[in-house]
Amino acid sequence: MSTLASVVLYLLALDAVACATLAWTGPGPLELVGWAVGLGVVQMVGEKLGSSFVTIEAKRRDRLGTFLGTIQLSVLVLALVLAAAQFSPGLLRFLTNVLAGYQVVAVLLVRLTPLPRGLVGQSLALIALACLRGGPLGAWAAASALGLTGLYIGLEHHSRLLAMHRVDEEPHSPRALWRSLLVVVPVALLVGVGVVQVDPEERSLGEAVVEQEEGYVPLDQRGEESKFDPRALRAIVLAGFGGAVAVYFVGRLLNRGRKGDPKSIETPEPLRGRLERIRPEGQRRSRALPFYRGARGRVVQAYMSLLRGAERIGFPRRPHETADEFAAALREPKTTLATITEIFVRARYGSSEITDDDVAQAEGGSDAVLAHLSRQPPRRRRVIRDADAEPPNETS
Amino acid sequence: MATEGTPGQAEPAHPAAGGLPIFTRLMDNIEKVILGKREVIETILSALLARGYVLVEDLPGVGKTILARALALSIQGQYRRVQCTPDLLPSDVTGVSIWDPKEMQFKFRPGPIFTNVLLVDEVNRATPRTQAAFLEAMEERQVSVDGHPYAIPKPFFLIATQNPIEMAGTFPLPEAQLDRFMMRIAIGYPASTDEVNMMRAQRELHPIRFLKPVMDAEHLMKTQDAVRKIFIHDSVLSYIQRIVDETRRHPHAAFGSSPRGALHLLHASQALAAIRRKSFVTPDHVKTLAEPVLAHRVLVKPHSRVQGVDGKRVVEEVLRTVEVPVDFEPR
Amino acid sequence: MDTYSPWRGFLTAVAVLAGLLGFASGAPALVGFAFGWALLMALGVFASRFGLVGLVGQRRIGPNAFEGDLLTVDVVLENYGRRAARFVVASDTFGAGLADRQSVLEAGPLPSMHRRVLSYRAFVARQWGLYTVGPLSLGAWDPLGLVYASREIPRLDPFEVFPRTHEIESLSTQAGRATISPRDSTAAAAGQSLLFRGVRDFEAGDDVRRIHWPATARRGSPMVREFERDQQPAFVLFLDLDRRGRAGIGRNSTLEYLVRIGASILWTAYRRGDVLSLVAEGEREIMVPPGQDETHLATAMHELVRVRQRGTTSLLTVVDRHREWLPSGTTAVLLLANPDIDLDALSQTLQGLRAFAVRPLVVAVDTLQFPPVDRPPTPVAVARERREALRQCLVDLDVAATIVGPDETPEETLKRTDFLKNPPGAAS
Repeated sequence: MSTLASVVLYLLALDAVACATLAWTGPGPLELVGWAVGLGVVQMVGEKLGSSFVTIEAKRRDRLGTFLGTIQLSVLVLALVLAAAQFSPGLLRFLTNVLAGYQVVAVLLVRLTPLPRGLVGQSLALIALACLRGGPLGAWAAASALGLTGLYIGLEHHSRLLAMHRVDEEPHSPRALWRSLLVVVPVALLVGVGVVQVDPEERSLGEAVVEQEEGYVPLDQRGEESKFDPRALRAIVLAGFGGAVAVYFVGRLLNRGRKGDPKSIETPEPLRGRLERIRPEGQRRSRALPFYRGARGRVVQAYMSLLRGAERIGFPRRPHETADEFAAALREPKTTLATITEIFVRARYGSSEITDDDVAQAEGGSDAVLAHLSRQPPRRRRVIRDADAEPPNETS
Repeated sequence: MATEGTPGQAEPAHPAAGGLPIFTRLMDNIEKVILGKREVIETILSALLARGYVLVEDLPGVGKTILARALALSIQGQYRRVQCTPDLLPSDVTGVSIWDPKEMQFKFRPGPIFTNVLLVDEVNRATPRTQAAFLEAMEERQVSVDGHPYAIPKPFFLIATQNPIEMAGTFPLPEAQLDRFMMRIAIGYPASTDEVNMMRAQRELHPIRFLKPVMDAEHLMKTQDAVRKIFIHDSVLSYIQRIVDETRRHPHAAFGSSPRGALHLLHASQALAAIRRKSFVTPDHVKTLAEPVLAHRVLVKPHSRVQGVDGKRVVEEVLRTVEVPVDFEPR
Repeated sequence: MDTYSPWRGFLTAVAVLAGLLGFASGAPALVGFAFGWALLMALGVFASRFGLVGLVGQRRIGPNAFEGDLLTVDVVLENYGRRAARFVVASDTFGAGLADRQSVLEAGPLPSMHRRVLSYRAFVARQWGLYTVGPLSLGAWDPLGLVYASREIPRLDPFEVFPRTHEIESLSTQAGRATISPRDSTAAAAGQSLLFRGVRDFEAGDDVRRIHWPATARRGSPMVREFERDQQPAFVLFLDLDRRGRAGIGRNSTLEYLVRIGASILWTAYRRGDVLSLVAEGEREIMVPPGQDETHLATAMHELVRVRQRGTTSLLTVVDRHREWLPSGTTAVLLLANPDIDLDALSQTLQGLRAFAVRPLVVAVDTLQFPPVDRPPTPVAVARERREALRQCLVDLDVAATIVGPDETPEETLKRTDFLKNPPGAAS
């Protein structure tokens, strides 16, 4: 499963670079292939190098990872805020190039922390840049980001869960993939389709200038989108670095107070017993009422519909209750209940013939009891299947 | 199928009309003596009709012996009683061969076990050797003396009583022997009104003096044969099997019930169905009898015994886990 | 496992930022991303709850264990739902272990109407006493591992931890009685009476039921049966729970010494097949009647780990009260918590026991050497003097005894070769 997660992570990284560059720099197919190959190679190298990070003490490694990640994220956040606030294609192109280049580093360092937040964050930033362009490309960027990120964290979660409980991953990978896909794909499709509906047109690169001239106050390069002032870059980096330090220490300070929920210790040796049936084979409850033939079947069916009705009202028959016990627990209406129970017991467990009169009485009785229950519902009862539940015949 | 299995050939019975007034008469007869214990009488009659033996375990003075005597008197048959003591010898129970000087040969003089209804009082005071003598009689329905087998008359019904307190100087029945008893029942104290009624009834003379037999031995045997033919649905059979199986799997049980336990539960349920005038066995009958029939067969783990768990609680818990067959099984 | 998702906070922050950016820059794709994430979170909440539907958990555990035991706790997971359960975490609290929560994973599939037993190993790491196991909680993550839903099954199982025991070499089994005296009732029961030992002459007071009639007939005078069982060594432990014996705190307290030494003594008696009983009088009277098997030992241990030194009766009074019930040939161990007792009374009690053919042994915990709890400290000289007086008294009576002080742990004391072997040697 971890291989699968690596593949998804690679796809996310590649997708992010492709979307962002397609949105702002317009690369050729050869260039895209180059990115794909390059990122693949770099990721393989990074994962091979991952073992050398293991030698660093886990706590230090986490700190290092957190620190680097915070720097990176702060820079990204500031860059994105800047990009959104000052919509200038020049700036965006520049940012795309910088971030795409940095993506290589992020992919290389992917094994630095157990949770490659750096790479995911970096990719999401690139995707955000692509989203700013809008149109089908933006929709694709948003949908693919959701899908791939969701899939990755799903796979990674299952892998971690199984590893922590010392359960072999292999037999469970297809199920984990399927479970994650089942949740992620519909949401991603919904978002993609929705965004295309709302915003079918890409922003043209010229439009941005108009918007900029209309409302926003640029930093200091108004009208000169082709030329980028290095002071802005310096401001971004410095502010990002300062922000990172602040966020890191504030986060540590906050985390110090949070002792958190009691952590569990996973069992050193998982011992799994054999699978046993609770019910004998072939006796499975289905949602639909089964169809029974003959007079006997009709009586049983009438009684089953009574049980279903009572369950719906909040008075289920407990599995260990006999028909008489259930009737005693339900109490009202006494005579009708007694009649239908008697006929049912005779039809279900007996061998004598069931007359049409019995069938009519059972069917009528079932309806009458249900009608009575809907008028005067009994006290709700919880279904308790624990062996230590209260004794039967007791409503709770 | 059901009607042909109706017990009691003397009286015709239709399942809907339900009808074996003989049981009602039998129960009324016994209830004259033991007041307000209809369930207990019903249970003990189930054992009688299912050809099982009963161990009555309760405190002194709740009417164990009287119940057994009333039952014996209600059936017109021979009734004997053995009071067990530590010096009771096996030959005191089975009988001995003695030398007959006239005929110049050994002659067998049968012991008290050759009877229709035998009350073994305080069975745990007898030595294990004597208890073993009962064992053979109970299982084989015959007695071997000097290598000769002697058949015990039919019908044969054995009620043993024992006292759970005053354990000093007693020999608790071993598991193998407990398993041969179909049921172990407790009578319990009467309800307050019943106790007053009992005192009123016994102010002058004990009502057991006026007890008249309501059925004879032959009638009883026919009824016993008929009871075995009571219809039981396959799903109820598997319900019994699951209950027995669960007692073996229960975490507190070192050993669960034996297959003989399942068989006894089946026969007792058939008898109870007959007593309750049904022509078939329902899960209610099984549930009612599961505890008296199975509790003494469940051997609880020593650790659990410290916590106060006994066979009765294990069976109660099992009954709360096993699902009652209500829906039809798909074929 | 931590129930906090490492990705949730991070990605939620990212999504919020994306949403804000989207609003600020008028990019619907970014808003769509934020909306999609919110949808995933909502699905996660739903899916995690859904994963627990129809699941029932139950714990199976024995009621007790010794310190340091490794035991297996079973968690039975039953699925009454309509669909197969997967990736369900059952976490349980084992109070007598160091780890707070133990969690086991049922990776599935656990089909509908099936059960599976999952087990975890728990190490009894805590000291003797009463603990609880539970509550058990069942939990499930949503497929993306964002939300963890759990349901607690509010059932606590009591669990007793008994002190680790050591077998005491010197407690010999030779203390069995030669014959059964008329005032003793026979212990022959439970089918063991067949271990027939022989007959002896009837004496006034013998139970008539014990008369052996064949032998009587042959001999012409009444004879009484004797069983192996009656010759079996009987053993009784008298535990001093007088509140005046309280001293010290925690592992260095007299209670600790009493319970640990008492447990080892009971264990030794059990191992040797003695019929053992326990008598003590604290805030309530503790009387474990004579008995032999494992269950009986567990019962005695159960009482032992619950004792508190809150009694007001002196141990000597308790012993005197029970003296005449002890069968002859019994070994009686007096576990004294206070050496500061009336020595005349002690010698009277010990001699009284001997008069009833009971062999007394004494273990005295030297309370005066422990940090005092509710009384002024005793000067060292006085403490030593009292101790010496007690020792001299025991030597004079020629009673096998040991005086235990805080300079030795209970384990070290129990492992001493001369423990309870001879009258105590001179004070060190």
